[in-house]
Amino acid sequence: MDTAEYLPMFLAEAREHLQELNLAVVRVEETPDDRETVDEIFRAAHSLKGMSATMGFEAMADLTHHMEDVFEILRQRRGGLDHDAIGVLLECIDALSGAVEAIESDGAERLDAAALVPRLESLVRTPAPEAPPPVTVDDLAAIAFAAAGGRPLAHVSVRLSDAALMPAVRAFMALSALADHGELLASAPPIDAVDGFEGPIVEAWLVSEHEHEVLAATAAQVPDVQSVEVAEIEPAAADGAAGVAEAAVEPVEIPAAVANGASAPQRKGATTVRVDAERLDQLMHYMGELVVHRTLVESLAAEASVPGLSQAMQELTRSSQALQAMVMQVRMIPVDAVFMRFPRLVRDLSVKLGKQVELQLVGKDTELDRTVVEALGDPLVHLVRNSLDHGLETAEERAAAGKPQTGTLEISARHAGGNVVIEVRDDGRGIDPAQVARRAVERGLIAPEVAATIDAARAVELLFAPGFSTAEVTSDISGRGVGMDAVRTIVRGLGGEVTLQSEQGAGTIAQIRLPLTLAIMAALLVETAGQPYAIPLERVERTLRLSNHTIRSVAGRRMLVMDDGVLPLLDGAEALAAAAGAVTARSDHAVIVRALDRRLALAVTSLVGQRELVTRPLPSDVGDSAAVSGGAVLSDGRIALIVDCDALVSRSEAGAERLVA
Amino acid sequence: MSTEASTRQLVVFSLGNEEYALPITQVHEIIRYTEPRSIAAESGWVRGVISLRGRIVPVYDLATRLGLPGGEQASGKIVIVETGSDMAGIVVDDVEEVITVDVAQIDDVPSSDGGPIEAIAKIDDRLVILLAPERMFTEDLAVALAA
Repeated sequence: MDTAEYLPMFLAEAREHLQELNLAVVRVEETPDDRETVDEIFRAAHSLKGMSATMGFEAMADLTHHMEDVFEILRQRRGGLDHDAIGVLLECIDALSGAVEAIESDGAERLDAAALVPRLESLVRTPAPEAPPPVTVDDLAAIAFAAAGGRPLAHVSVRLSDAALMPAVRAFMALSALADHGELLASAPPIDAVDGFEGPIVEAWLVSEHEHEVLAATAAQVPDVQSVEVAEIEPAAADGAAGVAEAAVEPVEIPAAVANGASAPQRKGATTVRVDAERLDQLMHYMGELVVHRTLVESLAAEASVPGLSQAMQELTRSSQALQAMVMQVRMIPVDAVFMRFPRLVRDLSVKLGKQVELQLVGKDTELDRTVVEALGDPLVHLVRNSLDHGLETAEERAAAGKPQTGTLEISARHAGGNVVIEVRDDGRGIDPAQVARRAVERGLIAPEVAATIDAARAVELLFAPGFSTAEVTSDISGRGVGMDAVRTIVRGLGGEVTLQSEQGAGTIAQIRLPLTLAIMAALLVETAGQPYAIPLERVERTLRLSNHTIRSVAGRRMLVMDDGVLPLLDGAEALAAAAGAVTARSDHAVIVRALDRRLALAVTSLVGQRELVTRPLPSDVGDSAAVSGGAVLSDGRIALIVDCDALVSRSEAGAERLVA
Repeated sequence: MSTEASTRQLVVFSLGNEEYALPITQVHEIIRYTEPRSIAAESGWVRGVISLRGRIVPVYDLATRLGLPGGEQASGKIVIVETGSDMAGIVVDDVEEVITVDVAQIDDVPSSDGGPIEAIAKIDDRLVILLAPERMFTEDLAVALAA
């Protein structure tokens, strides 16, 4: 059978099942008797095995099969699996993930399970139970009838399409769906042994409060199901085995188009659709073009005097804004997509480091733009590693400090205005300024004589300095050459900020603050050196006329004197166009911007106004030397560059240090 | 091998007295010269950025890149090339024609490993320099060339 066309579906589903397994296995270690989790494990493992076998990936199917034997222990005895067993299972999941990656990259299944299988087998002390003798449909009906104990019993007969690729998986899905709607008393094939089932008829007996139509619809939602029949077994008529009341048969034919469709759309309650992420990006891209064109038409329409045009323009604007909001909404995904990896990561790291850690995930449903969620992964992993490696102490150290032996690591997400705030908080030892100072001296970041003056705030700044790492022992966990400076670079690249707060002995909070979306931004449009620039509105504190304020020179730098303080005054043409001295445009206005907990004034030629801009990345090899972070096309076709306020501050400070030095 | 494989279609354009060409499959479109929005850049051959239907596209100065004189004056056309998933504009004097050449007429240039020049096509008494778009404006290679 040529299965190539099913490969993308297989890859996507296999990844989902592996992710589920990852989460469920970690969870089952904590709560071994949680029936739901155990069922989830079985469901995922089973689907994975069936799919792999169907696609001809025998090694994956075989390894999953051996894993199932281990999972069986969860069902058979209370108390679940020990720590080592969970470790082996997680290794198996990693091996399977590796195999999936290999299949995607070149179609070949590269899975060496030789080392894993014996370890799995050694975990299974009791041999797998013998296959039960074959049971007939009549036996099952009788068993179900007895188990029903006089309650009304429904007999559901599901016919799978002959083209069904994975009948065993589909049977399992149908039976699971039915089990959700009642008490499944008996079935052929049995729900926990669908292996080798080749279809096409799946029979089930269940006691359910739902109408037959509901049961039929439930089963019919499973892909590849051709038809469903539901019959009631009358208590009176069921004196023997086949007590099916023929009169009550309610066949439900599924339209052929649905049954034959490759990804059979759900007939009823089709609440979700799987969409290629790239299409979403394209949708956003076109939406952006539409906004640009709309603003152009708007400005043209303002000059024309056609009756009804302004009314029509307003309508267009309204629906385009509604569409824009909808597109943004579609792109939002819960931050859980990135949080999901942490239970496993924290478990692995805490084992490796010999620390006891309880992970809390808060606000998993907080929604963020897809691109932001994806880009958040690496910085968050780094922060979590830092907390585990440097922040949290070992159980002994904690006990000695009078803390609970198990440390707490909380990863949380919440909305705050137009931002999303993500925090990694631990109750560890906090940042020790003295230790940071010592390391900074070793690294040549500061002079030894200033080490004593390093306070908590300065220590945090040092942590962000490139090439800094406080690990006492060089570990393979966070001492890998990237530090907080890498985190800051990524977060700033997303238009956000990262800050650290720490109380010695009580813990550390790393906070990442990000805009909700990267694609559309409210900005103040200004002009300097004859070119338009956009300053993100959330960074603008206020604007003022330079003629109303005093400008003083302090150590060669221009400072703006205001009632509430003295701010460095940067020349826009110099800072943004990097055209030092080339253009000496008269600057009448100044924009006070906030960045990195500081403020500075940027002198510009003129203020243009507030605009909604569709931001576009700049080509990677241009714009490195100026404090700009992107571009946007204006309604007149000109390109405005987006001012990177944080970079402005860094430049201003770098300049100051040069002068002082 | 089919006959298609033994010929290549090239877009030929002029720059100074020389003729250059790009594979037609990598030429997205040709637009009239518009002054790019200048932008601070490390490399001298970055003219700036232009807006192409809402997209921000870098514009490179081919003459400066190749070390030819007179790359600074406003030129005639911008050739939009596709480099991988990105697009970039290249400033040229004029676009002359699209020609089909036999691969036998194309000679690899041995000395330019990694450089922007991929090959030279000899057509009658003309020499047309075939450029490799993906290698034309990468920073590291420029460094390698300078060394």
